[in-house]
Amino acid sequence: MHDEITTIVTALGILVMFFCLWSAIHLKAKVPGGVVGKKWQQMIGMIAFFALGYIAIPFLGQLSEVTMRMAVSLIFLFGAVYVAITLRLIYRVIEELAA
Amino acid sequence: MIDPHVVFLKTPKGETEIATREHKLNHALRYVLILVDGKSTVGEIFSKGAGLSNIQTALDQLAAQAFIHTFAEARQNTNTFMHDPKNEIVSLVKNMLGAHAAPVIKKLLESDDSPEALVETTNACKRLIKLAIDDKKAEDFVRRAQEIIFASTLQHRH
Repeated sequence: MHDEITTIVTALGILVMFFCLWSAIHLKAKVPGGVVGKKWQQMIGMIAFFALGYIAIPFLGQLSEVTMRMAVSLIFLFGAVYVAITLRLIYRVIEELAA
Repeated sequence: MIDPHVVFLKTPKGETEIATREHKLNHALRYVLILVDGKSTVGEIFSKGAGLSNIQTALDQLAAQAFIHTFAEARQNTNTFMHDPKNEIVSLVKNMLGAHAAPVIKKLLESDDSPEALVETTNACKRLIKLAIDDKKAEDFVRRAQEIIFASTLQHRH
């Protein structure tokens, strides 16, 4: 039962992340450049990385404990970088609108 | 045959082409466009570009594609535009942003025609360009657009 719930939650996470990746790529055409456009490209790269990381989650159990911990640490690190990029972007937009 | 005493100058589209290579003119056309400086007569351009095979055709093509015009045509265009600064700003946006101009043009077309409203709209367009299109072109756009509005206001006063 516990395993089934974990599988469902993981599958939902993968689906949502791929939807985010599709949305980010689709919206890129509306933001070809400028301050947002440049950050958008970085965000697409990060979302693609997360999508791959999420797909790999079911297979993490087959890795050694050290490798698994390293993979999880990297996902945490890039999660923090993603939040930093997003915050910086929002700040730049607000700064521009306030000017 | 173009009169050898005629002087051509670059249109805003021609100036933009020199800076951006947006229309990917071939080498000969680009070279002739560079030679058009608003001072040299057609005869002088023929002398300067002596190594080129067909300057006459190049000038015809550049004029037909609105990269260059004569001073008389420039004055006529200016007079036409000065009655409608919004139209001139739309043209400026098309030249500067090419394929990405649509959202900015939409904003401009929705604006009121008064100089105050146009200044406000061009500031909003500047923000849009800076955030979503090309941050390096934003300042240049707003400066040129506001020059157009200012010139139009002066003309109405006279």
